Parts: sequence; C-alpha cells; structure tokens
Amino acid sequence: MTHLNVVAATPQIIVAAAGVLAMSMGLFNRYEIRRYGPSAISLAGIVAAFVMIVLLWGDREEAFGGGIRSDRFSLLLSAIFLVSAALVIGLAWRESAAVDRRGEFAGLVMVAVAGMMLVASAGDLIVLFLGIETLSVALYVLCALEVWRERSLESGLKYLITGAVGSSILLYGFALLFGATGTVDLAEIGEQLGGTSFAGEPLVIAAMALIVVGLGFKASAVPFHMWTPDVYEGAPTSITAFMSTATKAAALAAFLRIFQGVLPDLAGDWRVAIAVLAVASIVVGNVAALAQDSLKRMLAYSSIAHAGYLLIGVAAGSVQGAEAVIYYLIVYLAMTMTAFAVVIIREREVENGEMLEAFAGYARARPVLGVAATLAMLSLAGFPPLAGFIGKFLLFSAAVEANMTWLAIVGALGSVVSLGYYLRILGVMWLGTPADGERPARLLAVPAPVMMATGTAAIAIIGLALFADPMIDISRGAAEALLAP
Amino acid sequence: MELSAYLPILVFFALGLAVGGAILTLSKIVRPKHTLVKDLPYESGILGGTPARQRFSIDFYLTAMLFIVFDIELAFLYPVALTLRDDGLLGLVVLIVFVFTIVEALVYIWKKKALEWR
Amino acid sequence: MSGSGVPLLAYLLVSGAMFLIGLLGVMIRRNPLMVLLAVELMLNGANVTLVGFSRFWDTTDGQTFALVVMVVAAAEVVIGLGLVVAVYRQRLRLNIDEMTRLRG
Repeated sequence: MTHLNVVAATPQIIVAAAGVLAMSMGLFNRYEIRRYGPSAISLAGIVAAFVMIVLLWGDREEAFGGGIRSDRFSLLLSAIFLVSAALVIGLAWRESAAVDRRGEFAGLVMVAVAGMMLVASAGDLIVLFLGIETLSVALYVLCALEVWRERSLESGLKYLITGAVGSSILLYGFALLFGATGTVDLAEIGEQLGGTSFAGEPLVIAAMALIVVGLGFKASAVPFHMWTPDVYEGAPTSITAFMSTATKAAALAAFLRIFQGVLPDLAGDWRVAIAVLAVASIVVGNVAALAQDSLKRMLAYSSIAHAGYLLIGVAAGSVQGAEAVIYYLIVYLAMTMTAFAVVIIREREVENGEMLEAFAGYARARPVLGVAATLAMLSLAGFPPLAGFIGKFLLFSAAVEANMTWLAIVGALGSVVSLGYYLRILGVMWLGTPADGERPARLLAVPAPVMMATGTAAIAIIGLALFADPMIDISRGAAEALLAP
Repeated sequence: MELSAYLPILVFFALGLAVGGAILTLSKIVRPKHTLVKDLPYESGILGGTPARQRFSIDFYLTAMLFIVFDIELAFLYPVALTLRDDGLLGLVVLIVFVFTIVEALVYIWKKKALEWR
Repeated sequence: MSGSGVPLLAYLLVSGAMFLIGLLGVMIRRNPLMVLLAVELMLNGANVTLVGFSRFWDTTDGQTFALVVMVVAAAEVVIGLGLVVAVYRQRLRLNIDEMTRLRG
C-alpha cells in the first residue's frame, strides 16, 4: 500500500464506474433516461478514459503497489478495447437484446472492457486472473441477453461451461507458477525465472502448459475452439462482434504479457507449443469456414483462423512479433467490425439475415455498404494494398526473422485458402440474385448510430493502410514497453 | 530439453488420479450398505408418510443465487476487519467504496423486483 | 517453509486429485448443474494448491489469491445457475447433449 498512485489506474476506474452507473440508469422509470442514459454514460466514460490514456501515455507507472501497470502496451490495448466498445454500443442501437435491456447491455459491455483493461495492465497474477474472469462473466450474461431466444441462452450456457473450464485450467497453471517462484508479482516471477536455470523444471513446464491451454480457450485457438462457432452464432450479433475483436485482443494481451513479458528466457520451451496452436488454428479455421452457409458461423471460423495468425506473432517471441500482433489487432478490429456491421444491418431487415442467401444481390441494392463489406473481406483475406495485408506481412516476416519460416508458409497458405470463402461472400453480395426472382431485397433505413459505427470502422480500414507507418511506430513502442524491465 | 523432464509431471498426475481413485473406492467399500429399511428416513419410529424428495419451486434458486453473491462478498470483510486499524483512513475509504458497490447491487436487484416472491 | 503440520506434498496431491476429478466430471457429466459442480471442484483444487504453496513460501499472496478466486467462482456459479433456470423456464430439457439447436 506504499505506492497507491491512483492516477495511473484512472482509465480502469472510470470504465468500471461508468459500467455500474450505466447499469443503474436502466432502473429509472422515466423512458428517456432508460433509453439514452446507459449509452450516453458509457460513451462519456469511454471518452473520459480515452483522454486519460492520452494523458498517461509515456513510460511505466504503477498503481496499487504494482498491481496495475500503466505502460504503452497496456494503454494502447486499453484504447483498442474502448474503441471496440464504442463501436459495439453504436452498432447495437436497435438490436433487440440492447433495446429491451439497454442498461444491462451498455453496462455489461463496460464491465467487460474494465476486465480487459485489467488483463492488459495486470502487474500480478491475481489482477490478471481477476481481469480475465471479469470480462468472461460479463460476456456470459451478454451472450444470453436475448433470454426469449433459446439459442441465445444455449450460447450463454455453453460459453459459461467451456469458459469456466478454461479459467480453472488457467488458474491451476497460475497456482503452479506461484508455487515455482513463491510470488504472484509478474516482474518478480520474471526475475526468478530469468536466465535459463529454470528451463526444463517440471513445475514451470506444467504451469506453462496449463496457461497455454487456459488462454487457448479464451483466444479460441484450435484445439480449444469447439465452443466458438456455436457461441458466436447464438449470441446477439453485436456481442459476437465484441467477442471476436475485444476479447481476442484481451486474450492475446494475456499471452504477450505472460510469455513475452515474464518468461522471455524460457522461450525455447513455449515457442513450439504456441506455434503448434497457431498452425492448427489456421488450418482448421480456414478449412471449416469454407463449408459454412451462415455468415456468422463463417466469421466465427475466420476469427479462429485469425487467432492462429496472431499467435504466429507470439510464437516468434521477439519485439518484432509483439509489434506485429498489436498492429494486426488494431487492423483486425476495424475489418471485423465492418464485416459484422453488415450482418447486423441485414438481420434487422429479414428473418435469418445472417444466412448467406439473405445477401444475394445486397451490395447492388446498397452500394456504399457493399463497398465497405468488400473492403473488409479483402482486408481480412490479406489483399495487398489493404491494412490486413500489412498486418499479415508484419506477422509472417516476424516468424521468418525468428527462424520459423514454416510458420510463415502455413500462414500464407491459410490466407490463400481463406480467399475461397471471403470471395464467395463478395460474389453472392455483388452478383447473386435474390431467391424470389428480381424483387429487390427488403431494405430498412439504417439508424444513425449504426451508420456512424459502420462508417468509422470501414474508413479505419483505409486509414490504417494509409497511415500504417505511425501506427506501426506506436505498436513498436507498446511492444518495447512489454519487455522493458 | 529432454523428454525425461516431463516424467515428474506424469508421476504427479498419476498420483493425483490414484489418490482420487483410492478415496472413491474406499468410500464405496466403507460406506453403509443399502437396505430398504435403512434407506427409510428416520422419523422417530413413525413410518414416513410423504417422500422426502419433494420438488420445490424453481424460484428458490433465485433467492439462493442472490444469497451466494452477498455471502461471498462478506467473506472479504473479515480479512479487512483484521487489518483495518493498521490501514487507517485509506482502508476505510477502500471499504466504503467496496460496500457502496454491494449496496448498488442490492438496489439493482431490488428495483428489478428479484426480491419479491412470485 | 512450514515448520510443522501438513506437508506440501499432501496439499498438492489432494488438490491434484480434486482438479482431475473435476476435469473428469466436466467431461463425463451431462447435466449442466453437475458440470457446474465439477468446474467448482476444479477451481477449488487450484485454490488448495494456492493455499498450500502460500504456506510453503510463508507468504499471504496465495491466500489472497484464493480469496479472490472464491468470489470469482461464486459469481460464475451464480450466473450458471441463472442461465440454467432461464433455460429450464424455456422448458428445455436439462441435458447438454440434447442442446442440438446449435450443432457443434
């Protein structure tokens, strides 16, 4: 309690408080407060936390006696989580889960973001675990928020059961790591395990294996991915978008924080394990996505494949790898949000709007949205001028640099396979004809917040390619902060 | 790294399984044997009337759930009570924030009418 | 180091057994309530490890961790129960294998 330094933890505190407040706003009797209060408070909280992040930007500061660290890494990832939350709150403006329970929706999204920020800024194992659980528990509820839909409930329950198993395994790994070193402080654990005296120590190996498995569940890496398609399909679509962007970023942040930040000297032991997960995820994710008819399930498998691409950067075990992961997380946020935004807009208009056939000729009916979707899909596939290509290039070259050329080759082959389903979506959208003849697809006006969120995400795809250099510089700063003593 | 380093882990998990299995088998051997008369609930010599396993309303779960949360939250107050004197004003502020959050949760479930019996 | 009393190995064996029984339970049991119970067993197995190591290293860190885990576990179980009740109210049968709306 000697170094309280609450200032360094203000972003987390603001977000958590905004979450609690937003949830209480849903309790008021006045309609206007219930309708606009939660979103307004959440967005205000996001803006305030963002301002604090900009103000705190710089070298490491510690709050609560080292429990929370604010360095470039945690601040940049916190910014990713906040942007994701803001976009999701916009996208969910008219979604039934959010309309009926606006307070719970916005409040729980904020609570989940607070958990993610704790993960990114954790200074010891306790805060790290607490953060992971805070975000998971909030997401279990968010998945099941459409309680009148059996699928939504099933999705929540399945996520809860697999998520809880993953958490338990992770916790056991943390317990063994604590047992091997006698401290929960990440920096001290790093010092204890520094050098190579611990390489091959059974307790540490077991701890690392359990942590890889536990975090593998959270990042939905193969073979711990079986829950992902079901949960992603059943959950409200805006929550699916949130899970596949922000939660993935949080899981990767935990991967980087533990393996790159704390155990860099044991890289020989963990690199291969993570590389195997990466390869399995890329192969299974991309191949399974080819066979899907539901856009939501397809994007779920695509997110599994992307977990694989991102893990390549972790497996590289270098500053370059971490930098690539962070940059790709930002790019991935923009393109995935755009892709899901298209699904969200279509779902409001027709029943089963997430199925591929609902999009036949949709891009011709809505050219602007069609262009946005095209950008997102091409970027996801890694087409040369777009941001997705730059990110993948960074990831693969980090692997080559780390003498893991085979990883880069698998990644590149996976991207080629992924063209199969991304182009299929685009083909249906631009060239397909609706099932019932030439009648134009049923269109509804898009609510302004949804339009703004979609536009922001789509423009970000171009912006991240145009301004790739400054973004990569920022990512490098964050990656270096991870390794700084 | 050699493969033999993994042996202790294997032994550890094998021992874990063995202890778990031993506990389960032992309790199976030692536990009282079932007979019809022994399985009857003890009602001071009077024969039991209705079956003991009644189904009860699922609404009980709701109350039980809410109880668990607040019960566990209180588990935090005990350690704090031990060190509150040393923590001084800071400890008090932390405690107030903590309790305020719990009260907020109470207000929430109250307003959501989760405390009313349906 | 713990001067007297229960040796570290005993903690580790009991906790390992709890964790593995829980893991088996998750894989074998089909009733969501039983699965939740098994997960709870896994978490508490990890808790016993934490407390055991906490004694071994003569620090309170592990016990603090265990306390936090207890709260987290309670929150998880409460939400699990809530979801099970909600599913029950939807008159779904309480059997994971029968949840086939979403094929896995």
